[in-house]
Amino acid sequence: MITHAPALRVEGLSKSYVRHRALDGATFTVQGGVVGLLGPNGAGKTTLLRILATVLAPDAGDVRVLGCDPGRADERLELRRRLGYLPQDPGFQRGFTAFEFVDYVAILKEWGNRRTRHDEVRRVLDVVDLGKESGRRIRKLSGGMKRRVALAAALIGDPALLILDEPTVGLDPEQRLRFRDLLSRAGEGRTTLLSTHQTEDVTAMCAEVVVLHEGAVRFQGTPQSLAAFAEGRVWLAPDRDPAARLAWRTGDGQHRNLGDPPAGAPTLPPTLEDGYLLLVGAHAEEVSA
Amino acid sequence: MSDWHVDQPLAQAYAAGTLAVPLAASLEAHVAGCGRCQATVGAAAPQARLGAVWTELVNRVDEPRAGWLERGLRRAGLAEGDARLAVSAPALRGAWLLSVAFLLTFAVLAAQAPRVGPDLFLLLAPVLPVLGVGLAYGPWVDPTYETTLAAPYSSVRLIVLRTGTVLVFTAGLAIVAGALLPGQGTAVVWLLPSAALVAVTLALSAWVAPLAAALATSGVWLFGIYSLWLNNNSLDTVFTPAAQGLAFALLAVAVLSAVLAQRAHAYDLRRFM
Repeated sequence: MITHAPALRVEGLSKSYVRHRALDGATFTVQGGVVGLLGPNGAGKTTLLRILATVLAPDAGDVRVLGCDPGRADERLELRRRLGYLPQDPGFQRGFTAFEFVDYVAILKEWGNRRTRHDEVRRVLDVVDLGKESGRRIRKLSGGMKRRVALAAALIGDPALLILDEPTVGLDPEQRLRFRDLLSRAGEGRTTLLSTHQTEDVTAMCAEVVVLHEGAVRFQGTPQSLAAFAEGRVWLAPDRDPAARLAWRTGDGQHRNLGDPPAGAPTLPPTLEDGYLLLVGAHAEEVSA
Repeated sequence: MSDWHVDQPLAQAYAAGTLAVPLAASLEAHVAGCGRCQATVGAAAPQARLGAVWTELVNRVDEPRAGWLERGLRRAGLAEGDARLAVSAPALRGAWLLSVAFLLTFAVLAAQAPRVGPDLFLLLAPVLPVLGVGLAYGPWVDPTYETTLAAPYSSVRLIVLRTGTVLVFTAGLAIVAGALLPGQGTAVVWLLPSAALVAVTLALSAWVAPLAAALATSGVWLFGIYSLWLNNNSLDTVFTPAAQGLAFALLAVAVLSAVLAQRAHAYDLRRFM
C-alpha cells in the first residue's frame, strides 16, 4: 500500500517575541490542495507562515514541510528549492522592472543559466498575465500588478508548495476578484497555504480551512463545516438581541444576531463568516473538527 | 504608388536570404509601404525562423542591462548571477554618496584645518566601512529580505558579495581622503582597526540585524576613541604597534566567530523579525 506523507505537519509549535506569545502550541496537518489560514490580526498567521517558509526559527514544536525538517540545514535547503513564498509585504528593489525583479529572485532560486532563467521568468510573468508589462518599472505599477509580480516570483521553478501571506490585502474588489482567479489557477497541482482575515477569500478559493486564534489552531475542516458551526445560531431581529453573543446592524436596518436564539426565533442559513465569528468572537469556544 | 508588386519567387528568394543585397534593400523599401507585398513576403518566410527571430528580439528588449559596476565584477571573474546580486545591494548608492561626502569633507579639512583633520579622520574613517556593511543586507534595509531568506541561495555568500562590493567604495574612498591629510601613514593606519570592526559586525550579524550590529560596533569605537582623545588630547596611542596588534587579535577572533557561526548555519535563519 502506498502512503503519502502530508504536505504540512505541525505539532505543538510555539514562538514568542519579547512581550508577546505569537504561537502557542499550534497543531495541524495538511495533506494537500488549497488551504486557507484564517484568523484575526495578531492571531499568529504571519509567524506561522514565516516558520513554514524557513525564514524564522520556532522556539518549540515539530514541523515537517514536504517531508523536510526546516530545523536541519540540509533539509531546509532541499525545502527552499521546492517552495514559493509570497511575504505579507513583498518588497521590491528600487528601480527594478517587473522582469528584473523576477529575474533577481530566479537567481536567488539558483537558476544560474541565463537563457533558461530568462525563459522561466517570461513563463511565470505570462502565468500572472504580466508578459506585456515585463519592461515596466515596478514603482509605476498598480497595487494589484505589484502583487502579481511578487506572485510570479513565488512561482519560479513551479514549486510543490506555495505559501502566500495575505495575498489579497489592499486590493480593490476587481483586483481581488482577478487575483483570486489567478491564485486558484496557480494552486492547481500543488499545495497552497494562504493566510487571510477575509472569509470571502476562503469561500472563493479553499477546499480546507484552518482557523488560528491567539496562537493556537481552533478549527480545521472544510469551509462548509466551519459555516455549519453556526447552524441554527443565526437569526434576524429588529434590535440587538440580549441573548446574542455577536450582533450587527445590516443595511436594511435589521440586526443579525449570532449565538443561541430565543425559542421560536426563525433562524437563517449560516455563512462561513457566521461560523468564523462565532469561533473567534469575544466568547470564542473550543470545537473539534 | 507603383503597380509593381513582389511575386512569389522573389518573396521566396528574399525569405531564403539568397537575394542580392541591392535588390533586397529595394524590396524592403517597397514592402515597408505596401500591405499586399507584406502579406506575400510574410507568407513566404519560414514561420519557425520568424518565431525564433521574434523571440530573440523580445529577449534583447526585456533583458536587464548590466551597468558598469556589474560588467566590471563579471570581468573580475564573478558569475553573471552573482554580479547581479552584488550590485543589487540596497546600500550601494548610499555607501557611494556617504563615501564621496566623507572624501570631500576631509579634502576641505586638509586645506582649512590641517591640525584637526588627521585626528577627526582617524576617529571616523574606520566607521565608514562598518556602516556600509550594516546597510548592505538585513531586515531593516533590504526590501526583499524575507524573499531572500526563503530562497536556496546561500545567505553567507550573499553577505560576502554585498559587503565586498560596498567595502570597495567606502574603504577605497577613505584611503583617498586619508592621503589628502598631513601626517605619515594617516591614509592607511586606520585600516586594521576598521577591518577588525567590520569582522566584529559580520560576526554579530549572525545573531542580530546587521545594521544594529554596525551601529553598536561603531558606537563602541566612537565612544572609546573620543574618551581617549579627551584624556590625552591625541590619538597617537591608538595607532601604536601594540594597539595595532590588539586590533589584529580582535580581527582574528571575530573572523573565527563568524566562521563558527556560518558552520552552525546561524546566518541562514532568523531567530527574530
